[in-house]
Amino acid sequence: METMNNFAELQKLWSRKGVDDTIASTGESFSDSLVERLRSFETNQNRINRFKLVVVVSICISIIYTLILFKVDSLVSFLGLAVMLASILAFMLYYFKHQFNINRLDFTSNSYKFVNMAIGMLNRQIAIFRRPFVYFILTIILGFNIFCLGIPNNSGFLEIAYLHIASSVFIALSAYLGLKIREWRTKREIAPLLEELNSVMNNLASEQND
Amino acid sequence: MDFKVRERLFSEIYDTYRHRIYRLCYAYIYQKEEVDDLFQEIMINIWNSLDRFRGDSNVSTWAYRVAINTAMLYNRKTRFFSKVKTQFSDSCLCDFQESTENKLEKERQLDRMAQCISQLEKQDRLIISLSLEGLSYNEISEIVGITPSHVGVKINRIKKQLFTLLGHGNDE
Repeated sequence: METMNNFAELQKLWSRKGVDDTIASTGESFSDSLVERLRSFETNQNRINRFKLVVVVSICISIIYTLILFKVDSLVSFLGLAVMLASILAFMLYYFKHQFNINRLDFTSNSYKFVNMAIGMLNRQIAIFRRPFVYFILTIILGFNIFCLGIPNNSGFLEIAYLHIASSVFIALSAYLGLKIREWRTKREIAPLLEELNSVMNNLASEQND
Repeated sequence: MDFKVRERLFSEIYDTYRHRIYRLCYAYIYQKEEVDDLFQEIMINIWNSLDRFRGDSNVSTWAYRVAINTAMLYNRKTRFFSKVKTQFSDSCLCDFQESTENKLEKERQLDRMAQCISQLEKQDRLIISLSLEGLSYNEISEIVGITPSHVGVKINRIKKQLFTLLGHGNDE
């Protein structure tokens, strides 16, 4: 380490490090190969987007199919379905709007702005599964109960009450399970990143405020 | 932006800045495999961000911003990025005339230096690597988004830390 005694020497030494991007098997440069790979990466992204569209269309078709299957013709049931559909639609829109999406981040902005932006986006992603999700589940339970009210049924009051309670509890438990999975994923995926970004932000902010 | 234009711009950036960006990754992470991963992610983000390049800042500032921001968001445990599989290796940009012994000694020093840098705070590693590339306080300030005077304060503090880690006092 005798020679590493000033910053200029460190700079000189540091500049020796580089990337050898020649691909041994083909001899072509990494840049050429990367462009090809990026092209296929973009194609994959487009495929994923098309897949998402297919999923949304499938959900719509299955809802229409359910209507036909149950021969629903009561106004009350339609109202229940409308409540559920509106709730799903509103939640989906909210979810996609606030979902953390790496492509929405502006990597070209300065780091201070960028880290702020990323923290905001991650916090909004976490917030989706707080109050908005609870409202969503409550409206689904409400909609489902209204839907059931409209289905012709010759059973007694107790059976009907049992159906309403059981289905409500089932939806609530499914939602609870979903929330637990989400919580686990948040702890594993988002929390460490958020912690790191907050520490970077505090560090940069403290430099600003010194 | 047209694919051809994008491709040409990307190749220009890649050819000019790949070693500097690789060193930045090396300073940030140190472990070889992770360095390669981060390098790939930076290249993907540069590619994806090319549409946003308006020419209002110079190319190096723009490329470094993407690199630094990608590194800040990079987390081994949190794979937010999709992978593009690539194979390449790092190397020492050594003079062919240099003796093997000298080369090995330099590589050892380089490794020691990278080890010491890897012990700094994460954001400090990025800032010192920009300084090691010879960027001015103003340029670093444009990339990081803090004032040049604070960049100066920060760099002096990091340099002191780095020299302590390297095992001798500050030269300045």
